Amino acid sequence: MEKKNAKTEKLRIALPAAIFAVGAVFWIVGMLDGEAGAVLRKAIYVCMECIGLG
Amino acid sequence: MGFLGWLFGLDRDELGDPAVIAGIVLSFVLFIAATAVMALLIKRKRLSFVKASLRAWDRARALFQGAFFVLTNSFAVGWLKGTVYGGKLKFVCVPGLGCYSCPGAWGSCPIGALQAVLNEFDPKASFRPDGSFVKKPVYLFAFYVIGGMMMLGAAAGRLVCGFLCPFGFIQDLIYKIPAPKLKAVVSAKDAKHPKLGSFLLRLDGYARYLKYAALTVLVLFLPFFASADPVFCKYVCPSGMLFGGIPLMAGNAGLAGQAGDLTLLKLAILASLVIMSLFVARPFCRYFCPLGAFYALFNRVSLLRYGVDDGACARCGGCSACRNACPMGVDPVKTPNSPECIRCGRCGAVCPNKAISFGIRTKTPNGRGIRVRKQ
Repeated sequence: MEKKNAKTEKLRIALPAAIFAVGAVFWIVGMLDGEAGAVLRKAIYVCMECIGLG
Repeated sequence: MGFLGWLFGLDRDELGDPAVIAGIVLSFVLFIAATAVMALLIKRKRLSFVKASLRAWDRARALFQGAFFVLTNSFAVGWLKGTVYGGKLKFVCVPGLGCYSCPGAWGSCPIGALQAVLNEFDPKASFRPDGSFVKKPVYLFAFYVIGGMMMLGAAAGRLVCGFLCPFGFIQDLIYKIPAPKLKAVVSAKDAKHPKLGSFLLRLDGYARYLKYAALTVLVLFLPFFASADPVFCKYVCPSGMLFGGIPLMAGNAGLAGQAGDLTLLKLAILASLVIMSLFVARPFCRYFCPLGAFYALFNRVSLLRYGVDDGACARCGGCSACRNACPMGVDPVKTPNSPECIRCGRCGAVCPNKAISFGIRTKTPNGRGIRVRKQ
């Protein structure tokens, strides 16, 4: 029982760590692909759609 | 001046304007003050509900939410001149639903940024010779934004909703205004209208799925495959109207002159949510928020999570204090890491035996029978 609990505990930490790592890889891939530039291009001007004008 | 120009996204001429200089000074003051408030709250352990009363906890959380809002929206030049921040830092997404067209915003809204990336299309390939439009996206997917949101979700789930979201903060403040609360009608055992209560409870349960529909259809599917517009931002987002539309139109006559039907639609949505917030806690987060829906997917697996000490909880024989204190209608004893939980910590603060804990290993101060309940 204790062994099973220890395994569950490990999995409880390993799973979010794995998701975090996948997220980090996605983030870097997106950066390299120029997606951050697309975000910046949109964000530095007033977004007319967001404020109900366009 | 070069660094200031880069940091604030301003050119040499603008930096000579007295209003801009005042804005820069004010920005630094606000930024430092907000950081100091947050640091003090953390240093004095006010953000631990283990020893806090519910009242003290609510106050500390509201202070933190307010300070984080000021921190991320402290570009005072924008507030003073009715413009937005145009510097290079804006490629960074803030964690909550804070519009990037808010005059004070330093960063981007993740939902807006997600749609901005998905919206990008190749005009040459998309407009066909016969005049029809078949969208050819530029990017394979929005890896950058999704990746950032995944990291936050994996670390803390919907903690962002409870502590870092500006629109959530506003709803929390409105809910504090004295008004008849719908929760009392729905949850009271001796309710005067039990049928109405049970109907509302069922309706509430089904309506909560709307936010997942908003995420998949309005934020992901339509902007990627069919539309060149950020559909959610354009037709729904009340945060954009509140933090972007209203202050920009108030400070910029040129923009105010362009108001039309869409402005009225978005104002009506915002007004409805403000009125709903008087009676229901966090209506937007419950039913419509696509960002909350995304983080909710991680609540059950996130590194930081709630745990319930069964032994300590049993000592008061199911007092339900945590369930009654939860603004989202979750029963923390049954499902401490429910996708609906915004991790505001009210349950932990109100628990008389301090049976609820939050952290990686979810240790409780009572120290007995520690385990995380299965979902």
